[in-house]
Amino acid sequence: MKKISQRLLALVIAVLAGIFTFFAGTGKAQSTLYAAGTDTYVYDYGDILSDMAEGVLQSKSEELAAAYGVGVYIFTIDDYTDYEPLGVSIYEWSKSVYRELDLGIGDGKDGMLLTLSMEDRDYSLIVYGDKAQTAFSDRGQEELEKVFLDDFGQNEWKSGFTDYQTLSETLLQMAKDGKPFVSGILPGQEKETLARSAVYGGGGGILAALLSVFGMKSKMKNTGLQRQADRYVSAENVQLVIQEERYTHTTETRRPIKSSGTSRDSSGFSGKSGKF
Amino acid sequence: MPTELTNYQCPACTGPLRFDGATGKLVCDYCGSSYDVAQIEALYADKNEKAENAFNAKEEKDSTGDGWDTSDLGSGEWGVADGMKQYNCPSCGAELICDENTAATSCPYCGNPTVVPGQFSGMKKPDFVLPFKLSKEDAQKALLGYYKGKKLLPGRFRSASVVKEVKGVYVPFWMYDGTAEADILFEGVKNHIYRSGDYEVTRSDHFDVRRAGTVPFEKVPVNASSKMKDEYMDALEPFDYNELKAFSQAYLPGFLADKYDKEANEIADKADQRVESTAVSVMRETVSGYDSVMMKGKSVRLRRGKVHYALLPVYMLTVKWKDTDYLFAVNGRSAKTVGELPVDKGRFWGYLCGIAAGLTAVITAVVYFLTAL
Repeated sequence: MKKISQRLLALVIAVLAGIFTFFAGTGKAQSTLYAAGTDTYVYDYGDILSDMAEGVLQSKSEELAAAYGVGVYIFTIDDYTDYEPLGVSIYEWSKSVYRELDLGIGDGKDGMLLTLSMEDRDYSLIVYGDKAQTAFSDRGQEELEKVFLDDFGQNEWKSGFTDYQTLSETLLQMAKDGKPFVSGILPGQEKETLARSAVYGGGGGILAALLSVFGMKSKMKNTGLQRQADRYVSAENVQLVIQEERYTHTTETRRPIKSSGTSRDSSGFSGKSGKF
Repeated sequence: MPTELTNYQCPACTGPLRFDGATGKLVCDYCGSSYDVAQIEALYADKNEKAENAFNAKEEKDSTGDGWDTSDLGSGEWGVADGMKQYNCPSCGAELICDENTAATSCPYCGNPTVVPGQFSGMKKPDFVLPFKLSKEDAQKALLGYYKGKKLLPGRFRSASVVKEVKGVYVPFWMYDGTAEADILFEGVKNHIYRSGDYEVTRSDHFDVRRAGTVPFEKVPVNASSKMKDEYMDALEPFDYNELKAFSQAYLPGFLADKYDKEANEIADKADQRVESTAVSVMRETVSGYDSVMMKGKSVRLRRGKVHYALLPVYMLTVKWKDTDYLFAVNGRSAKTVGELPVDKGRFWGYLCGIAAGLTAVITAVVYFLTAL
């Protein structure tokens, strides 16, 4: 019953949004899913949650919105590329969803949206609004990614979303206390961080020790074949007859610049995307 | 009657002469006299020729079978084995049996240093000889120096190992001259990095860079003796070519010497590979002003030149430690020492565990505090 109603809702939303965009003169030919101005926090168009799970998650997000004034949203869909032209990333698509569904709380439209597209297992996490950006800094988003990707990798949807909400609450509370999480270790994660550091330390230590000891061992033998004959060339007798340099082409690579706190793009969003 | 062997005798007391690397002269250990190489060469020019003739005549006589039929002797237990030759020591008359490639040796009975002249006649005559500069004692000191700084060397190796043998050997080398004609295509990249909004942008301009030219090579050495390992002889480079002398047997007494047993054409590819590789490097060094350079294509043609035959000075040292012999080679002029030392397993694991434990603690602390920042 729930699935049928969702499909109907999607259809209605798509038709309404299509009419809206037509009259607005945007001329967008693709179908859309958006409905504006709701208090819904969980949009399970991908149909991966049970009714009960969806209800529990919705309640928790309502609780967070009431307590902190920031919306913590969940959006799942079969394949986001069905609704957008080819080449648009899930990150950009999620920004459109956020705007079109008029998500966010208060005048600042504060909120965070986690989107899963099931077909190709794409996800994006976007944050909008000053209050939300303060609570969910780049570092905070990294921690959020860790907790939900662990579960999503094993198709544990409910567990992943629950972890997402739980950590969101922690981050919101820290921001409310005037100590937003922008770096360091999350409260209660000291032991885990120490254990992780020890793993890095152990791996790095053993690797460095192996390099060092094998370096010592290599000094015990210095025989070997010569590969070069540079000693037998007199530099003044070398004659260059051709020296040509010709421009062929130019390439360009871009790397996002990381900074502490939250890095927003020009549209006011910050976030991450990838595969789960 | 001329003998088949040449042993240089002191004109003053008739004692055997040996070449002394430190003074560059032939010295007599009996009366203390010393002579320039040229002096002795002049004195012995006639004798050397007679010795060579006698050697060749004997070879001819043996091969024509004119005389007693001794063909069965060679195949029996007491005959001279294949690849060996028999001589008589001109000092004590003892019969010497040595490798057919041996060119200089000493009599095991009287210690008389002896040169086998037939080995250096005609095509077999070396163009150059690089005389020894170091003595056996210097070679042993060089070996002790090689032990320094070797953290994995067994603790008692220095004191308990025994130098079983130190041999000064003139090792035959082919030296190749030639010119490499290289035409190399590189890709050079110039990077320009700038910031654009939230991104760091790297703009890379790519260029085809071509270099062509000639790289002349002179005297690229390749070991011509199968008795000497190439890994040892190559590692002993460089040899001091400034001190190369025109060949004279007078430099040989007191040392062992072998003639080549690998033909120049047989092993020329070793020199070719080194020359080709260096030609590419030389061309690469002329490319500058780029952030990165990669080779895209190459064409190297070798114009082969003269091949020289030279004897180069090497000390071979055999060290016994716990029933195992370890072989080392020392450059007879520069004292550069090469070889493989034993590894103390206890020290190996001790260092490995100690360093791993220490670094694990340090890295763990650093990672933890960096994460907490």
